[in-house]
Amino acid sequence: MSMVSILICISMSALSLIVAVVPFVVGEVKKRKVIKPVEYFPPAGSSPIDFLTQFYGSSAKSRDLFNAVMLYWASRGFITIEEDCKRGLKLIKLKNLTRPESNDGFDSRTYDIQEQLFEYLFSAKDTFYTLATSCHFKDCFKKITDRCDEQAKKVTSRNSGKYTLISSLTAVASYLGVMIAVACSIENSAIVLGFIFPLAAMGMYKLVIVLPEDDGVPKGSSIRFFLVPFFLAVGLIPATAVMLFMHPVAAAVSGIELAVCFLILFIVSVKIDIRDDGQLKFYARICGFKNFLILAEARQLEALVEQDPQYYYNILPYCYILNITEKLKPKFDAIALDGPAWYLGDLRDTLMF
Amino acid sequence: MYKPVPYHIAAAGVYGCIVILCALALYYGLRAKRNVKKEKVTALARGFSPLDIQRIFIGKTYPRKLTRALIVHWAQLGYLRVEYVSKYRVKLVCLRKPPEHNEEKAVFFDRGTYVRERDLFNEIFSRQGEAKTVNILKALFKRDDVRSINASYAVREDEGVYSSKHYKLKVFSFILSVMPFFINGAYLCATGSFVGVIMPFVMFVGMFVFRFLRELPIVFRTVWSAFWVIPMLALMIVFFNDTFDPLFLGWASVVMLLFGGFVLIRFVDYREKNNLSDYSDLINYKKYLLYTNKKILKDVDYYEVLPYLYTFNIKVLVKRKFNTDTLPDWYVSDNGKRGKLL
Repeated sequence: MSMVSILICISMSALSLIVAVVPFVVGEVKKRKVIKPVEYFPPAGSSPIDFLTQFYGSSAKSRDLFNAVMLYWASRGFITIEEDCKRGLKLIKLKNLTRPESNDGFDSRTYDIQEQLFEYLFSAKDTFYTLATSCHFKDCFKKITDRCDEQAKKVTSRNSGKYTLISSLTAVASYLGVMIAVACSIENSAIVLGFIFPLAAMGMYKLVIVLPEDDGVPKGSSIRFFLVPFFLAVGLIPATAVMLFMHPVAAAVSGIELAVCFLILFIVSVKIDIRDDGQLKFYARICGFKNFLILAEARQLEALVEQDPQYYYNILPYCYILNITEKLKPKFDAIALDGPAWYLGDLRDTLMF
Repeated sequence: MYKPVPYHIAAAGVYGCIVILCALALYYGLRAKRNVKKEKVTALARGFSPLDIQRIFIGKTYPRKLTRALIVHWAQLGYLRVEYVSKYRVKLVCLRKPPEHNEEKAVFFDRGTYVRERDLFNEIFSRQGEAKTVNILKALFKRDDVRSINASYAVREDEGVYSSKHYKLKVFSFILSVMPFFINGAYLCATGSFVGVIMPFVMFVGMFVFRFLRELPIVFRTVWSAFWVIPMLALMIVFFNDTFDPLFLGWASVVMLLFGGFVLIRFVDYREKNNLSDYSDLINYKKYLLYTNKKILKDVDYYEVLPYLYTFNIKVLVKRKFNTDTLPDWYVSDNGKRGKLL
């Protein structure tokens, strides 16, 4: 393979990588550079759903929302939580859900999502047992998580979607370009056909993943799980076999381009998260609150608990969403905490941490 | 074609995987047993179902295998009257239906098990007073009914039994069991046999379908997977037989795939803290039934423990220790014959 061909291939790979990495880095730098005010409390009126959508943006995983929302409702006095048969929860409705007095600039539509979930839980009876919940609830909860995901997508600016699409298309174009360059260079176009398989496998996998749930392969099913090794085999076997018969330099160039394409399509492009100044304002406040909790010394937290004995239980739902409960455990373990009135069971270790 | 350096690297990898998987199986296999407390458990909570025992032990229930245990359990709770028909056949008469799980009358150990058990009962009896003659050696329910009842609840049976760490460990063990095959494939490539690339992937597809595509019928799944896996195993052995293989890498990878993937992986078991405590109680109760002498057990109500004897599969071993002279109130036998149920 000639030096010119190698340089052309490397340039194309580098270009596609730059197109994907630059918006990703820009988004991350903007998030990092934004001024994060120190917040001792979660912004007034914000719910765990606000935290989830604003903090994680389009990469929010709303399936883990249930515990946090339950704790949030309990801390606001709408429900009580009891342990049920050591492995479940009994939720008792105390009063109807009401809108917070101030939503402090956060999106009020997240309250509608909460209301819908509350309605699902307590529409028939005032007591909800997780262990006796019918599978119908799964569908209802799915609708809730879909709404959360939809809400989360709105948090990132429209440019993120554009850049994701552009970087994916560039990656595919560069892959095809490199393969054509390699084929021309080694004067054996047939051998490069083996590299169509990984591209087809990656494309098919993406297509299956983005298919709507009703028409496509259901989420969490083993068939969906099976697709990973299947497409891995379909893509890698022909490509590896072809590489073994190629000149080592040509094989290395093709292999590198395959790796770059995979990296862009499955890792970098999906993480592009560019936000405008308005969107960054909420993100910064949540970050400030998170940083305070992580960096605060035990005596600072102790002072806050002295002011408000329920402080820990009020921030707990948000800690769940921010995934910092494990980090906070040693700090709060040192502070004497009374169990909150709304929690009547002995599930602290399971539910809280 | 034998190449010493790649060969010894491959050997280190293959035997490393074997050692790690054996260590995991040994450590986690004994974890639940290590946590069994030294205490005497002489009775289980009222309403403790045979299905609870299965759930606590293995994280799922097989009501089709518990016909006798469930009949006795339901009769003891007053839901059934049992009439003798023949040695292996009894007539079940529904006296009342199990109450809803949220009613005060409902007696159970675990709500999740109870709601399923209640549905199973309702599957047999649609109304009070209904009678059915059943063979106690056959399943009471159809497989599809059990499946659909299980699937009709949002919370899985193994919730609270196995944590996510358990499933991560299982996946890790599965990877360890197939890894030697991939290492051998890489070694074959290094020696110039490029078919080494294809073998592991083809084998992996077969294994994956067999292990994880539970929706497919077992016979079809086995045959389909066998077509993918067995030729690859044979090919691996043939390839290594043709080369100098003093450390038996070919055989080691095949043995690891089958023994590790199907046997050792079963010992990798990581339970939730609460489940460990229930597990300990059940083991201690089983020990109590097995090893307590006749003088003490003579005063214990045999029919109360009978469902558990069936579930633990120790009825034959311990029945003689109990006083079985009188028939229980719920059992009707005109000719005084007991049948095999009791």
